[in-house]
Amino acid sequence: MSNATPLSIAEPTALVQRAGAGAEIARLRAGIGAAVGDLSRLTRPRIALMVLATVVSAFWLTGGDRSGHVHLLGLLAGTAIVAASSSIANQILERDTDRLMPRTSRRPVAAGRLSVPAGWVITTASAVTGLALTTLSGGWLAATAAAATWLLYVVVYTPLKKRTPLNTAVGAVAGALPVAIGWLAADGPARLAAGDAAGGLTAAALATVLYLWQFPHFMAIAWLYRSQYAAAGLRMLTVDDPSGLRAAGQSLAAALAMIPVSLVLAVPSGSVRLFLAAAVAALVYCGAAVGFAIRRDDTSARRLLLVSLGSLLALLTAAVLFGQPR
Amino acid sequence: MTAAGFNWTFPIACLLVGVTAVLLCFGALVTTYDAAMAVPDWPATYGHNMFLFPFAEWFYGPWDLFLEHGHRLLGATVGLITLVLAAVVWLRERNPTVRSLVVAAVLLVILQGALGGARVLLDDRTVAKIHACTGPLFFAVSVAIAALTGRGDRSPAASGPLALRVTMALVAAAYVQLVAGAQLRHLDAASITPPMFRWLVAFHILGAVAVAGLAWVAVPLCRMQGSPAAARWATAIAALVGCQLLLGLGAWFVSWGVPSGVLPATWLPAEPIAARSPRGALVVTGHVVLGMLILGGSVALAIAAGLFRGTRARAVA
Repeated sequence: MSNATPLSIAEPTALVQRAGAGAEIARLRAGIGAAVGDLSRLTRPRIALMVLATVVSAFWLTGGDRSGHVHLLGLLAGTAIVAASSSIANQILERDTDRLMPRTSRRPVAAGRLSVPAGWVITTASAVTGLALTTLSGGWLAATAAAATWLLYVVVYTPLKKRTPLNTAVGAVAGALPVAIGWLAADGPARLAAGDAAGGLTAAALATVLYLWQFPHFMAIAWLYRSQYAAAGLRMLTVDDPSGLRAAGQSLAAALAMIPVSLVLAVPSGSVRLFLAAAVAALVYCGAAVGFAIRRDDTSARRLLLVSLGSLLALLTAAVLFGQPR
Repeated sequence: MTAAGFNWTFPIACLLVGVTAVLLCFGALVTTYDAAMAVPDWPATYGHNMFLFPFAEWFYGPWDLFLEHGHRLLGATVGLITLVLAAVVWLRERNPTVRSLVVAAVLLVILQGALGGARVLLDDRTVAKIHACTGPLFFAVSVAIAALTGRGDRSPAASGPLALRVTMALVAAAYVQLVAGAQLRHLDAASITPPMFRWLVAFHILGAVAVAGLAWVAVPLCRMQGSPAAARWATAIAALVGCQLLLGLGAWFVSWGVPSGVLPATWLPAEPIAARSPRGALVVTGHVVLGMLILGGSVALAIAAGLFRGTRARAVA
């Protein structure tokens, strides 16, 4: 026990050092976690993922060259970065209203964890990088479509949210434009000029599906968060018409029109499987829209929101699995 | 609801339903006689403006030309009536549900016209199937508009939740049957394998069982839980479904013949009936048209059972 004395002195020191290191690691972990959380809130990866799924589906359905995986990956990376850039710009422009809504008050710019000038620097850098990558991998036409999407979302849709309930009709165009990115990257115009009308028809159908799909989806969100939108002064349809009748009506009209349009996705392949899958997905979506039109409560809105995500996922998956052009 | 004066929406909506029903009959005949490519150009008809194509050449011309060009003229008429209805509804109707349905009708009629054109220009059977699925959907929407505008300020008595659910399920099942039927009517040997064909036939038969079950269950349910109007609609639809099952058997008979051993040989006709013979065409086309009428009736039944009940009162309030 000769080393009992040194130990009795050294042990508390080691424990203190170990405890200090542990706290440091915990702080580091918390810091990394917070940074990842902020990055996620800032770039909204789920929306970016949806945009990418749209681009892939458009590229695939309109007969893009599937052997060039690197080319497609570059296109997807570029599009994702542009989507993230538009999301950051949107949060900078909406920071005042974001602070008023519990749903968005923790966003980095609204909460003051990211300054506005720093936000604009990241926005500009990511937009330039994303557009450059899109140009290199998908051509300048695809990059132009990406830039148009960015402008429509940031410059037109975002300010419109405070002015008119028609903002959804405009914002839905920005949501449908990624189809053009995929189609243009797949040499769609050249194929159309060569007489391949099916690819152009499919691109138009997919863009229309995505345009119409957004109405029930966003009306459900607008219903669920109507009190927050009202408090923030945003002119959503559910704020202008608290009965929900107009929101439900728009959802119903769009869901009904979506049924035949989604079936057009089966034209290039002539696939019966895709035809039936599209019919089922669109009918289920329409059923949820009817349910919301009848009940107009949180439960039916939540169901419509879930069904909207499921039906789009099913439709795009079926399109990629069975929709290879003949 | 009309702001004041005569309710123009209802008669125009009824006119739309009637003309659309005739249009659907022509469409079904076009498919039965495979006459879609009888006029190879679109939107022109043999180089003429569609509306200026010589009447005598159309009316006294070949049967397939009569069907296809007549289908186009009726389609244009339906489009025009839809636009007039949309204008009247937009000016005078306050019920948001009716306004939304009219928007859907305008979108669908434009889409249906474009699909009809694409079917000819691309000569594509998948487009033909979509065209065949969109027609009944438009018909259902126009029936819904007529049913909602015809009741004036009265809302139907509240039906029980089960009756409403059954009637809504009937609408969905009737439409799914039309989608499956469109697959069988526009068979494309290049894209369908024998097992898939068998699956489709089995699905269509199971769908028929589902529609029959729902229609017949709806009768007692609507009598117990629904309004008198709902009970009347349910009874009429149940009768139509009975006829439809017989027509379905007939359509099978004239399209694919009787499976060997199912019927005694003495019961069978000496000569097989072809689907394009007058008798065969009547059976096959009647099966399609009756399916669409069942869908339209189911929509009227669902509205009579309380679908969209109260939207008018709340809109006015």
